[in-house]
Amino acid sequence: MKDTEYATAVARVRMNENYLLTVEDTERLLTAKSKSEAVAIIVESGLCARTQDGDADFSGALRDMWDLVLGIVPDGEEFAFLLIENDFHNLKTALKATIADVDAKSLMLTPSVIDVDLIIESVRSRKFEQLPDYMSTAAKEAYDLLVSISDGQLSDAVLDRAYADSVVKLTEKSSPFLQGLAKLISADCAMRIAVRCAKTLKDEQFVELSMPKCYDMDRKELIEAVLKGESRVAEFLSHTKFDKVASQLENGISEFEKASENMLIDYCDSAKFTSLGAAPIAAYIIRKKAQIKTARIVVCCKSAGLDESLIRQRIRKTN
Amino acid sequence: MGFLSSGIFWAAIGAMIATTLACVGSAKGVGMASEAASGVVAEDPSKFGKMIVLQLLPGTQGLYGFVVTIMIFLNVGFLGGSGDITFVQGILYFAASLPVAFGGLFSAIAQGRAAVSGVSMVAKRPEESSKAIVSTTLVEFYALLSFLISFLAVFAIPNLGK
Repeated sequence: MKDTEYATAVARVRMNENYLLTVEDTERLLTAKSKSEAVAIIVESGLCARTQDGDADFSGALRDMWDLVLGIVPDGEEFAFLLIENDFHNLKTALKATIADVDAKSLMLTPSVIDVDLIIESVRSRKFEQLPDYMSTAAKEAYDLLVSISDGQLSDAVLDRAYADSVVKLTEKSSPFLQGLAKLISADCAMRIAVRCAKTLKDEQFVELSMPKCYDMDRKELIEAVLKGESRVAEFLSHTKFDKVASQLENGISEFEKASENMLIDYCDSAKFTSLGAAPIAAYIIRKKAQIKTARIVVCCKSAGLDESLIRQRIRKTN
Repeated sequence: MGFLSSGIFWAAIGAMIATTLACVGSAKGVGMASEAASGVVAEDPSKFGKMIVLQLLPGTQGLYGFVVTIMIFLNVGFLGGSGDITFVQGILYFAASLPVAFGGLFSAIAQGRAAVSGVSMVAKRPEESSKAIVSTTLVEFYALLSFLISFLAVFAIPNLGK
């Protein structure tokens, strides 16, 4: 698709970027004295509206963002890779709800690429072939694991792997920026899985089943490092392009995951200077999602009365 | 194929090319800038005034091409007067139209892209609209050079090639 076809969409996104949190807003948010003050700052900045009971409507803000993006882009499918996270969440929910024989609909996330009812129906009827190719095989595999060995963790891990692989697959025909972003998202997933598996001493079968394809690292070597322990994972990653992220592992898994997520925001920085094409729109989605996540963390922490320094440790880069 | 040795034929082709290519460039440039501006105005209608200058800037190349075409028409007698020009003069009119045609085509598209960036800039920082306009206007310099060369050449041709 020609980059000039995105002229209107990029201009509208640029206007909406005015309602993202600025560095000053984030600082004010962190120093807010209470949850209500934090919510007031978030609402005042325009990041999201207020719910009827006075809280910040984060879910509504995400829905509004997707409504805007899908309404203005020439081809919404190009951005599906940033939305399928919700679909895989919905699939996990549907699988577990079906096994437990409870209603899953209220737990589903919207918007999603695949209709929520289709996911529920295909899981209930075991007709996984109704789902898109990138999801159907993993859905059946996850279901079989849940039914045969009742291993919910492994079932989730299989779907997480499928998610990471699908993100890259869906951008095969997209612009280099989107392909690069998808590979970073996949690498972020792979690194988290590697560290968590190493930390919880998972066996080879678990690691093999849960590890997605790796594009900027050797998958086989990463799995071998996982099986040898967390320090070997850090050493392996230090020899890849993710060495800065790996260096945070010595400060704990929370810092590591934070650095891994920040990597996406850094990647999106180049889109600040682009006025045409899909890049500024994808960057806006990533930034808005990161800001909502940060705002959520701050509101929860303020609500729990946590100290400002503790909150600072947990928040992600948003600008 | 006798018309190929006719001066008036080559002059007419030159006149058509000058307007057509310059206008195609302007249409693309203005179209791009307008698409982007519409996105901003859809979110904030009060920004229409700031957008209109950026939308119009890539449109000048079409006007330059049009002026050169009219000058060629006047010189070769399409709009009255004597239509008696030599083959060499016809070829010279054709050559004279090329700077404004191709200079206009490419500079208008480039200016359209610059205008789109300007629109994005104004969307985020409305107070910087003058900088966006100045940046976009820089491309105009090259359209003006092309126009000037075509204009001077067309002006001089009646005294050449006789």
